[in-house]
Amino acid sequence: MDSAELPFLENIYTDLKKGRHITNMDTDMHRSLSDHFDQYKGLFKALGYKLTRHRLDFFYLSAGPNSALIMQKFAAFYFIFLDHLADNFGTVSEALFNQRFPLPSLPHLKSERYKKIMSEVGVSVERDLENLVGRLQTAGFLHINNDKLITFDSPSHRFLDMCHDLVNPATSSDPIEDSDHD
Amino acid sequence: MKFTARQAVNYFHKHFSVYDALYGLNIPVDEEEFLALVHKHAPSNDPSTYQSILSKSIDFGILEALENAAVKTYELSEAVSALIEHFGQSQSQVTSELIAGYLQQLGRYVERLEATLRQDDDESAILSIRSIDRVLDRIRNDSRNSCRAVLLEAVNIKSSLESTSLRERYTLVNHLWDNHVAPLQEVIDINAAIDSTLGNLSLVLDRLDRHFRHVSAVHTRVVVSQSKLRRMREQTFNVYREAKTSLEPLYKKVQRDGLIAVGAARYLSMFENRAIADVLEEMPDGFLSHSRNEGLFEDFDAEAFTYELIDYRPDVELVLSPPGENSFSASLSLQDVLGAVFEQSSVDDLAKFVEQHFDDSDSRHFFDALCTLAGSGSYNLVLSDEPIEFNFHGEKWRGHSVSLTPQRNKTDG
Repeated sequence: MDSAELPFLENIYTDLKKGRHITNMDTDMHRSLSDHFDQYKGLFKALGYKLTRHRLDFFYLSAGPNSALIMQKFAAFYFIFLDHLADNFGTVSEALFNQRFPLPSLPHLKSERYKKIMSEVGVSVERDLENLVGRLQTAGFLHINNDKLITFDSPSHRFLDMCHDLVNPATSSDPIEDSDHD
Repeated sequence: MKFTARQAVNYFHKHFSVYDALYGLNIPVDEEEFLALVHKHAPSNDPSTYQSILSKSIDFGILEALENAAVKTYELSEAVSALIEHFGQSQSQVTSELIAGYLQQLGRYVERLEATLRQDDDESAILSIRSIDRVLDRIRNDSRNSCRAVLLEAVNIKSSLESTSLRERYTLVNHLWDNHVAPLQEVIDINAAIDSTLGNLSLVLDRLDRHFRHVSAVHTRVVVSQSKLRRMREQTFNVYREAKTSLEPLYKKVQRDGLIAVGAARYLSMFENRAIADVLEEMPDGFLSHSRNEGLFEDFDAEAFTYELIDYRPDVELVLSPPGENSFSASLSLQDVLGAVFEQSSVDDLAKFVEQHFDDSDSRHFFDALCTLAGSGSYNLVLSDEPIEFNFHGEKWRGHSVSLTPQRNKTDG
C-alpha cells in the first residue's frame, strides 16, 4: 500500500504531531496504526519523527527537546502527583488508574514544596493548573468530565516508566513493544 | 551412673547456654575448647567444677566423646542436637550468610570423608556422615521455616494494604524477598556454589559406599545420607516454589510501585536543586512531539496567549503587500539579489552573501531570496549542522547558515 493511501493518515498525522497519544479508545486511528505500524513508522521516520508503540498498546511521536516548557509542566505535574499518591495511598499505579480525582483535590498548589516547583514551570494559580490539565487531556494522558473528575489514561504509564527507569535503569521498562533500536 | 529422666532434663536446663553454644559451633570440640565454653557461658569461682560439667554431661548422655579421632573430641548427642534444633526452629531463618555457613561446613565434611577414604577409616567415615546428615536436616528445616515466615508475612502485608503506606510496604516486601526467598533460590539453583558442593558430596558418598562395600554400617549410613540429600533438595524446591508463588505477585507489584515512588521523589528533589529544563534535557529521547505549525483553541495556553495579544499594538506600521507584489525598497529588488546569486553559481552562506553584496538589504531580502531559491528546484540547500551567530547590518541573528549549490540536470550526465 502506498503511504498516501494509509487509512486515516491525515488525522493520525495531525493528532500525533500535536503531541497526542492514540489509544484503543481512538478506534479507527488505533486500528489503522496497529495494522500498518511498520509503514507508519517508516513514514514518520522520513519526516524526522520517531513513532513508538508502547507495550500497553498506545502510539505516540517523539520529537523536540525535552526541556520545552510544556514538557516541564507535564513532568512537574506527574511527579508531584505520583509523590502524593505514594504518601497517601497504599499503591501508586492502582490508585492512579482505578480512581477518579476531583480537580480541586489535586495536591499541586496545596503545599509550599509542590507550589514552588509548579511556579517554576509557570503554574501558580488554580486557573493555570486547570489549563495544564486541559493540555494533558489534549495530549491524551487523562480526561476530565463535566463534574471536573479526572481519570488517568494508559499513556500516563510513560511518566511511571520514567520514574522506574531513573531508579533502576538496569531493568529499564522499555516502552517499545515492537522494538526499534535503529 | 544411674539417673532419672528428670535429673537429666534438669541438668540440661541448668547448663543449656553451654550446650546451645556448642550446638551453634556445629563442630566437635576438644576438652580445652569445651572447658572454655563452660567458662564463657557458666562462669564459676571454682574452675574445678568445669571438669565436672564435662564428665556429668557425658554421664547424662548429653555429650558424646569421639574416641576414634586423633585428638579426643566431644559433640552433642544426636538426640540433644535434634532437641535444640527443634526448639530453635522458630528463630532460625535462611539467609545468605547461613547458606554460606552451611556450604563451608559441608565442604569441610566432604574433605574429612575423603581423608577417611585415604586412611581406610570406616568408623570416622560414619561419624562424618552423621555430621553431614545434621547439616542437611538443618538446611531442610530452615528452608521450611523460611517458607512459613514468607507465607505469614505475605498474608500480613496483603491484609494491611490500607493501613501501611507504599514506602513502608516497599521496605517490608523487599526485606522479605531478599532475606527469605532469594536464599532458598541459592539452595536449589543448579548454578550456585552450593550445588557443586552437594554434587561433590554425592560423589564422595558413592565412592565411600564402593570403598567400604563390605562394611554394612557404612552402607546403611550412606543410603540414609543420600536419601536425606535428595529429600532436602526436593523439599527445599517445593517450599521455595510455595514461598515464591505467594510473594512474587506482591513483590513485583510493590517493587514496581516502590521504584515509581522513589523515582518520583528523586525527580522532585532534582527539580528543587537544579533547573527543571536541565534535568529533563538529560533524558535520552524526545519525550513528546510538541512541534506545531498552528494554534488550537482547545489549547488553553494558545487561547490565553491570543487573548493577551488582543490589546497588542505594534509600534511600527506593518505594510501588507498584495499577492504577487513585494515590499522591497525601490533601490534593491528581489531580482537584483537573485541575479547576484545566479552569477555566483554556489554560495557558502546565503545570509552573509546578501549582507555583504547589498548595503541596503534587510532581512526580508534574505528570506524572500531563500524561499524563491528553495522553491525553484534549481539549487540544493544545505543547513549547517550547528547554529551560528551572525551580524546582519547591526541585527544579531542566530541560526543555521544556508549554503547553495546548483542542482545538476539529469541530462547533464
